[in-house]
Amino acid sequence: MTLHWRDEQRKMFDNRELEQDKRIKKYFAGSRQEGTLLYGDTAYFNDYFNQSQKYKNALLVFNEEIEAMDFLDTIAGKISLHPQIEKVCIAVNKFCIYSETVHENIESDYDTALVSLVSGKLKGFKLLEHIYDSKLKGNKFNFASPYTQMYFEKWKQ
Amino acid sequence: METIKEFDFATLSDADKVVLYSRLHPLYAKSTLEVDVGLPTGTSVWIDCAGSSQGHIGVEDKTFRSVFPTNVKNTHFMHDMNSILTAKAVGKVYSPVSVVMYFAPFLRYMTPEEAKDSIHMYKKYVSTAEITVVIDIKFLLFHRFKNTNDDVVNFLGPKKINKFGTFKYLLKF
Repeated sequence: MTLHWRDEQRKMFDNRELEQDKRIKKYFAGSRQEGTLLYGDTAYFNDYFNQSQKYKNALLVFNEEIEAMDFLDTIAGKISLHPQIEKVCIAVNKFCIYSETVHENIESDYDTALVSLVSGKLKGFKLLEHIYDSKLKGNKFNFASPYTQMYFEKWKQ
Repeated sequence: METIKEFDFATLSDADKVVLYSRLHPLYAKSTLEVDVGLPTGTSVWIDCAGSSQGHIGVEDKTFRSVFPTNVKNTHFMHDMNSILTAKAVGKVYSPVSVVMYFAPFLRYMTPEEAKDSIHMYKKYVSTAEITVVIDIKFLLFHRFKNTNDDVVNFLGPKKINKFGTFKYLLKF
């Protein structure tokens, strides 16, 4: 069986956990007994979360080639189907996104545009934290576990 | 457990360097090309292409020396692929009719501007050669919402383009 690239890379470092994986676990630590919607490259987290389908959390990990509008529509679609979700983490390998058409009137910085467009798809949620590196290279395990992460929480009334 | 944030290739064990390089370069220890590069007859120099597996002259980055056999043939190691010194040396020593960059790692994590400069530097200093670049532009740094992949490739200024994947292109300069 072929190892996930995450496991191959961790083997090089005494199986230490990747910083971005730890960050995800930390964010959901207090609510992981609630049901969590897992989408995308999330197998690593299967055992961490409760498998209940009464979702209170959502973890969406995009680590494959995806067209920009499909990416944004997937986020909006998945979250809007479950209005009881309160905490969301979007992790994305920003190198995997491509556009079929040019998008006008968006921020000139790619990382800023990315978080802005994702935020725009998550109505009713506030952005708590945005992790990114505008000069991201291959030394931060991005293809093992996406480095860019956005953490959201539902606005409380 | 302590986490890990990043790593330095130079500090990895030789075995781990091989694992990483074989993932980094699709030609490592392989001889099958994903796309026909269609070269003119004559001396061909392959830059940063996992050695001379294609039977041509290989020019490699010294950073990756340890992933190659000690007695590797027809492969020469230089300090930096993206340097005028290397480009000039290739032109003067071999006067090749073709230069190939086949998924060359040194073109990764560059902006399109940097990649264009690097490719055209070889065009300038290896003036005898047609330059063939097979590239996965997934690894270039650019605004994914403001540019299509074709926009980026056209910006590089090739005279011929063959797209063979979402991000993969064969370019002739």
